[in-house]
Amino acid sequence: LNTRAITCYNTAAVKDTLLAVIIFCLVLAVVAAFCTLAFAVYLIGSRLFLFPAVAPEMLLKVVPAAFRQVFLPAVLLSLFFALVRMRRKPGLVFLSYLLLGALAFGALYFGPQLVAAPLNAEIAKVRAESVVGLRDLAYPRQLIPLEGAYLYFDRKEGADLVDGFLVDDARPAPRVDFFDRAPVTTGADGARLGLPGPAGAKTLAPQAAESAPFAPDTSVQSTFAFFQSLNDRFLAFSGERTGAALVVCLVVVLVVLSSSVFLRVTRWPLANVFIALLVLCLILAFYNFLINQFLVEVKKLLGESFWTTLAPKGGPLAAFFGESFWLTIVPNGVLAFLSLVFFLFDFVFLPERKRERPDA
Amino acid sequence: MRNPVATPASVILGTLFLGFIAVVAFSYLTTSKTMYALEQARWSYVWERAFLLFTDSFFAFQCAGALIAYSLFLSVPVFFERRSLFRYLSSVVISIVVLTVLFLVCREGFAPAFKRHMRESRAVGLFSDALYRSALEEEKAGDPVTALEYLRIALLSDGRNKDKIAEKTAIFSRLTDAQYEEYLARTTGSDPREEFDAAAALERARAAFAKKDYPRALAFAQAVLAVDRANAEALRIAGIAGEKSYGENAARQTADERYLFAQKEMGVKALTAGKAGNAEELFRAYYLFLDLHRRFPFDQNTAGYLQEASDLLPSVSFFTADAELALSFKNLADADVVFFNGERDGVRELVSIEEMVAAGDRTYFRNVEVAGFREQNGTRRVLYHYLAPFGKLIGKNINLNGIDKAEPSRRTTIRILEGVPPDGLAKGVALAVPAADLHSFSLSQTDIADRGLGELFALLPPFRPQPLFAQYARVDDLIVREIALRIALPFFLIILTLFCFCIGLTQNARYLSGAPKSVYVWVLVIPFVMIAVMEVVLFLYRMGAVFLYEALGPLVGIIVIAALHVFFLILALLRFSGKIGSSLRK
Repeated sequence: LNTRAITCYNTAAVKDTLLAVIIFCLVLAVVAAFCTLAFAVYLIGSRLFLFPAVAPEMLLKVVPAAFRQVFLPAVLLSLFFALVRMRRKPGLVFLSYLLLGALAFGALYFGPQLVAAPLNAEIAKVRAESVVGLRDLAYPRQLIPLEGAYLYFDRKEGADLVDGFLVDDARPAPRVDFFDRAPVTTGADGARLGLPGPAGAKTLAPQAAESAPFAPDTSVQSTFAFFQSLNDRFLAFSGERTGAALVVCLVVVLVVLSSSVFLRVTRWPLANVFIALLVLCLILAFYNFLINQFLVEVKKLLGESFWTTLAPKGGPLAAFFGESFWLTIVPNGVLAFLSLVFFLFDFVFLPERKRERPDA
Repeated sequence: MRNPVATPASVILGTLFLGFIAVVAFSYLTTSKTMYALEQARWSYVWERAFLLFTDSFFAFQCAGALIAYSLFLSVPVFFERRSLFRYLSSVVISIVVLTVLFLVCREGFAPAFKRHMRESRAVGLFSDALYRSALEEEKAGDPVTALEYLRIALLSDGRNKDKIAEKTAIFSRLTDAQYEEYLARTTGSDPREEFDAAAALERARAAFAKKDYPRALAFAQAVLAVDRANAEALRIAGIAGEKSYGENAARQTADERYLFAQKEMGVKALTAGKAGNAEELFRAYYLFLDLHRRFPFDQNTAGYLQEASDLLPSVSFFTADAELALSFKNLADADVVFFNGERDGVRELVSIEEMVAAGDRTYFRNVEVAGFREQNGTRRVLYHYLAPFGKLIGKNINLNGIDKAEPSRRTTIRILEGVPPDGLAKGVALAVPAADLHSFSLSQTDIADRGLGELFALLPPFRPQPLFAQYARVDDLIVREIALRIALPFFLIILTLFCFCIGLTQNARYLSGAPKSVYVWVLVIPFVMIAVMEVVLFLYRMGAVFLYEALGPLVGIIVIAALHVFFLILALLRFSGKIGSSLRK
């Protein structure tokens, strides 16, 4: 009977472990797709001035670049969600951890290498192609409010506006310039109207009411900036394809896995989720601080020579870590140490209480 | 039941209440004394700010309440028949709908009114503060009378401000008698030259006597004697000046009288023409009588005509100094007001105004640029294009005749840039649009998002015969978009609340004998974490909805947005029903 019970238990545990892996994959697919789509929409709305009636192919063009930008947060978030689920039905705990960790690590390390679309090039390409379809130029014989200007024209002939005027609010009075014909061109900084005479070219940008929905306010911006900074560092490492990328991916995954210890701080799972999320955010903020502020100051204090003492150029360490030996070792070392402490608490000092005693 | 709190709605209400108290405390603690809020409006400012913050955080508090409700306080009752399950579900859903209506009332009813009131009191506060700062500068520059005048106006709207009162008292205590007289002359609202001041007249008599201008000295001395027959100094000056001037100035007096008569005759003609509507003649009459009054201050006729001309001036002009003062308060200005001022005989008139300030019942403009053009057979011809440095709204006209109170050479005139301006400019640019709408035509006005749903509807037909922004591209579109999003938002709140219930049901606490007190700390923390989460969620929601609207066009966009809301609402209802229904015993 015991053997049978153990077999049943093992089968259920393996099932739960596999379920955790499947859930991670599904959540990753959904979260990555959602984040990519949201980021693509944000890119089109905020950076493609006067975006024309959005053609699906335009969205598709921006998607690879958007995917690269959101990949790290998407993987970390998915891993966290999978851990929340895993804590309820852990299955074979070590195996679950191992599989989830390996999958997340693999996704992080190889994911960005699959998509190598540089964002700015894509944006520039789309901008260049959208000369004719500029949405706000589809309104002849009406005052078109733009950012710091009003535009009016009688008709459009090709890429030229005919018989119109521009009220340029940035200029001292008189500010109304009449034109018989003015070409519209697009460049890296958006659409430009070529006015004859001394007025010259004027950049056309959408009015605030149009661009506001795509411009996050300060608090949302700071949330995004947090992930952006983390992601930029991650992409910089992953671009090097050296040992640094390996170390970063490994440590980031370990931190998320180990911080799941906070998912059992109380017997109120919802509060645990919030606690774990807060702790994770604090750790990653600390990681950002180490890289962007602390090490920069240390580098200034100790000088470039000290920087290369331990990892001289051409040496094996430099070959493995690239140019970023200290930037890799110090912050990731701190994170690895924290992970170790969390794992120790999770498995050694405070091993999980038995589920049969829910109010223990 | 593990807690006296019995229903999910009461948990949510509790969270909303706690959130409101926290927001009021935050608003009170962060309202700095140095802010622009008026002293007497400080409490209403704190309250209104708190209310707006609460409305912005309503989503977060309601969703936090929904998360907490089933995860900590409530357990799903066991149902033995479907009817009781449905009764329970409908009671929860109805309570959520009621809470959402509460959100709608706060968001679309009170919040726009509070925003408007805050904006108005902010404008008045900024004006009062700017006057206070100007007063300090004037005082430092050695002009306490002007400083006091600024402080007096500043205190009209901010009468309880201790700093301003203290400053006014301090300046008052340092005034000399002459400065006090000058201040009184200014604050009584009448021109000092019209007031008879015996001491000043005696001083002027002394000065004229010293310069050997005996007729003038005699006139001033006689004026003093008219009110103070025993004034020894005036008697002495009158005696000597009378004797000296009698012989030698007899001829000159006759010439002066002839000059006065001729000038008055000319002035009266100009004044009559001015009364008939000729603004230029009115200005001529005003400056002519002003000059005469300076030279012959005791001529009652001149004083009367000058008063008459002064009374008529505001109907055809304004003082440039007043416009400069009002427009110097940049914070009050609506920038870049551009609109088409109707179409007459095929000529379309464009008006571009750099700045517009409404101070009380007066509205002033800076750099009013007007261009008229005709579009015919595919070609456009500019008929006129001119620029005026200042303007004032008088009746239904933007008057461009800025004049100086004392100096005719400092009158502002229009600068013709092209063509010939139309006739009848003396009264200014006749507005073909309601003057009250000018404020809305400013590019700096991005307050569509600040307006209530009712106000937004009021901008469009059928509530308005013609849309306010008919001559602008896209603005009506943006209003329709805003209305669509506002209508969709409450449904999004219901969807989120239901999903939060589901998460709460999944993540419910496992305490057999009541939760320890330490856990309740998280009841307080979760709503505030949710504020940050909800800000991101709402940003993504709004961005996505706007993108759909822009990408698919208004009609299809609205249909798709509505369909998505219906889909997610059904999904949320099914999911919630499924979770609650799992306790149904068959």
